[in-house]
Amino acid sequence: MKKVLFIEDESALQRAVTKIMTEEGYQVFSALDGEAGVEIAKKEIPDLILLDLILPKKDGFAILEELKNDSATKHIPVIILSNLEGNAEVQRALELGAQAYLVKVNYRLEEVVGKIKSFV
Amino acid sequence: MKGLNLKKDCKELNLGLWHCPPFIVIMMGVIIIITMLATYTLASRYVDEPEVAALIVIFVTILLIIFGNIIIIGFSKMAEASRMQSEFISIISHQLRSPLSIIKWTLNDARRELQKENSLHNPELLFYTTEQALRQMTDLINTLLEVKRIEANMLVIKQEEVSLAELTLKVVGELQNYAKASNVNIVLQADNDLPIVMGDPNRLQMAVQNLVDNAIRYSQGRGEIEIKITKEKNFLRFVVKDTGIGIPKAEHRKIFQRFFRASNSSRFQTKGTGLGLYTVKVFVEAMGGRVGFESEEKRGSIFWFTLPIKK
Repeated sequence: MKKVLFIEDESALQRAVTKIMTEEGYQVFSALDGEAGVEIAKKEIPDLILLDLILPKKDGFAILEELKNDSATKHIPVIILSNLEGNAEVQRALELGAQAYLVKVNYRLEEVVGKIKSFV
Repeated sequence: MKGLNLKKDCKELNLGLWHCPPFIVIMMGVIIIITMLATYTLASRYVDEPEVAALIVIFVTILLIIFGNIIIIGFSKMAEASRMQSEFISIISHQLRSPLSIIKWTLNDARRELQKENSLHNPELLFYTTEQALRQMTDLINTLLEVKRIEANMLVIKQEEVSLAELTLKVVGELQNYAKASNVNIVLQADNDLPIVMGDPNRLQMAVQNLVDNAIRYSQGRGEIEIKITKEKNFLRFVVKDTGIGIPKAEHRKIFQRFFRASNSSRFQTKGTGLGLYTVKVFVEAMGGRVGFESEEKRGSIFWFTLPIKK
């Protein structure tokens, strides 16, 4: 079973994504803040990470940087799921090694799943 | 090299060259030097004594520096306003998009469930989640409209009879679900037979709601909030005390400024515009009251305001 880690502080979004991904046959790990996210990523080595940018304790950019600088986690594809859409944020996330950048409000749950499936 | 940096600086400020303060400073310098030389040439031609010519040059230069500074300050303010406006738009659009995503994905999920099973597992959670998201958006838009009125000096504050205790009870009732979900207990203590105060009921409700909401929001998912309303001389005092994250001492003086959020608050709680306490202060002072707080980082905060009793 493929493992997906979702780092997002909004529990309603966590619930919705976890449910649909579980139905699709993935094992989903949830982290509600940045520090917990990094910890789970290093422990579980998921096949894909969904990452919000504005997070308590450690923001998405710092997480991305840390994971991409760690030989154990740098191969894991990361999809940014954020509602920020500034050129600076998108460019920075892609430069730090994110594979895709999705603006949450512009995507339906099914479309997010479609994007995940194109990676794992 | 300098020219290249200048272009980059102005681009970052999103301003054309002739509206960009760093460029205008340089242009003012060039104009001052040219004018000094021209004044010197004219003065030395038409004025016999060199001391008088020198005085004229100094006088004209001082005048130019003063006017130049006034112009540069004006342009810097415009540049700052333009920067704040674009920052404001990105903050607000992000704050509106967050609850919109919650509503969108929660409804997506509910529709899938209905299509598959013809019923919903937990309709109560669906209503709670979407209602909270809608409340968040409504509050944000109401606050924005109030800020617009404040900035345009168009805030009209009613002076009506209000029962502060009843109003607080109503606000606490509305926030009870949110408090429960945040594992926070609210205790409301009000003296018996509190007198009526004079104020604007809607604005007062927004102020109380902001203070109690903040207390819940920054309680770190546990703790107790004490709300006390007491009579003191010719005013009522409203106090809300929490055991949350508190405010760092160095940031105390900025806490009522528009858009300001304490550094530890944005680290802990990602939602927030920095407009809540700003409006609380404006509203309460417009109703003839005072606002204040005491706070210690990691220990909690006590926010209070007073309102005059009806004579």
